[in-house]
Amino acid sequence: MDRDFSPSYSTTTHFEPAARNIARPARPAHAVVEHAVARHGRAEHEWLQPAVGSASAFNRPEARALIGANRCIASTDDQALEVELVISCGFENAQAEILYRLPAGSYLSADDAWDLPIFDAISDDTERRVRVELPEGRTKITCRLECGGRLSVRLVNQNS
Amino acid sequence: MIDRSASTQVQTGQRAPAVDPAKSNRLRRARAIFTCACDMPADERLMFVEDSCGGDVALVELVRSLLRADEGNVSAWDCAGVEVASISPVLSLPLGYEPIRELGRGGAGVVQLCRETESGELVAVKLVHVESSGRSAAARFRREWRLLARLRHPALVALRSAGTLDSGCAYLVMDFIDGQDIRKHCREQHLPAHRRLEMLVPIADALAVAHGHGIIHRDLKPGNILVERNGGARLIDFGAARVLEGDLNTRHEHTLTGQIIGTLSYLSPEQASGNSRHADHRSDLYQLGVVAYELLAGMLPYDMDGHTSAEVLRTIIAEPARTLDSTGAVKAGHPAVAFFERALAKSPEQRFGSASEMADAMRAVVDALKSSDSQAVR
Repeated sequence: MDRDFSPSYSTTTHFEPAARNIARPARPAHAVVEHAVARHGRAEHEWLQPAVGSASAFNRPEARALIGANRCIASTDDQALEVELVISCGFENAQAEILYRLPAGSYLSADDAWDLPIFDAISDDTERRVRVELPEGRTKITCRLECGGRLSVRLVNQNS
Repeated sequence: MIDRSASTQVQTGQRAPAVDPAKSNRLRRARAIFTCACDMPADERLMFVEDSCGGDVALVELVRSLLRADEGNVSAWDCAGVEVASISPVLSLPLGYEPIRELGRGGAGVVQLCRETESGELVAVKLVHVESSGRSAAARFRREWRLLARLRHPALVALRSAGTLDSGCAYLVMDFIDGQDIRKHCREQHLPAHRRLEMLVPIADALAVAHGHGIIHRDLKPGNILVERNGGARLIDFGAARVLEGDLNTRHEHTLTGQIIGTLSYLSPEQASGNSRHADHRSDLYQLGVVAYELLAGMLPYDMDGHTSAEVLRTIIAEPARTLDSTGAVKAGHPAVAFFERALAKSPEQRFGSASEMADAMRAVVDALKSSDSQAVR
């Protein structure tokens, strides 16, 4: 077989970008909220660096989401509020303490490595509390709160 | 009934001008076509524009003028004679941000100093009206702020959060930098030459980080380099940034349309000659060279007094830059002279290959300037 290593891409006369050296974002040893998004109607708010800045809120007339480095509080008395949290956890043991009320149509799911559910809640009008062990790596918590829904996520780092 | 407005209107202290709805719709349509056309290969653009405008010759001309302006790296909306205020007379702030004052106004939006209600901290909120540019423009804007948020360097401004309002207005929340334009700072503080150049070294390092992520600033000028009270310089306003993505055979270039993309006096030769889409990271290095030159010499590398815009562009493209020793800033043979010959070379191939390389060369010149400054004091 002819092992010709000629480039498969087209060669051009103009600028070709230099090879990039992009470092992966550092992952701290303890659990932190790395990224979060809240959607309410057509409005959307994205926390780009919650672990760096102080807690900030997405305020709507009848709905609210507040995200900080180690907590999330969300509620709606209006149309549905969707919240996505990406939690990054290093080698230290950590848990997510989740307090929720999920009226009909709501859901709450915590996925390890984006696709393996480690916790799924069932819609229920009562308030419930659960503690989820956070694995090393990234965990994504996805929640849809219908009118009257409540969610509180607090990260509990065992060594802190 | 209580008006439950989901946003706070920006108080600029000025009444918003009356808007002609027909004109506003026309401009929105032009902007939408322009945005789509920007993403197309150059040889297909004209046909696409003509098809999209449905025989409206004036609209075709408006979109073409925007495309020409985009290629020429000047403010597209300014070039088309469009008043920014007529596009988006009222931009709204998200709830939770109390407006304090307007910090600046650009091609498609405003930057507002606000207090974050939750934390009480001062932040800069940039508002951009993207809805009329269509869903793809909003998605692109979102993609780009995520990329910009990855840039971490002490000389860069951290993006905190971002979002879109019901109105389609997009916003970015950034750290507020309470600083002063580097040129003004140097002038007022009577800083020695080595200190002036030294402040730009972290900026070159920050550019290396941005370039490593495939992001080109494209609008480096003294007004976009702020010096904080602690003397540290910060590079602001990636609003004109271009993101290079993908591998070599499927490279796409994205532009934040409607932004001011470059300032005439600081354009690189390739930007000035209309090849802004092919301007790469070395274009940023050229612009940083112009800023450094101005800080040391107290003047731009070209004589542009009384020149028209076209003459300025021609000068940047064709005329050689004044050598630094000819301005009296340093003596002939000083390492700074060779540094600027390379930094301001017309051909990108003859410039520094990377921001890191330029930063290292800058450090060497700073050391040389330190010794010449101390000799001058003696």
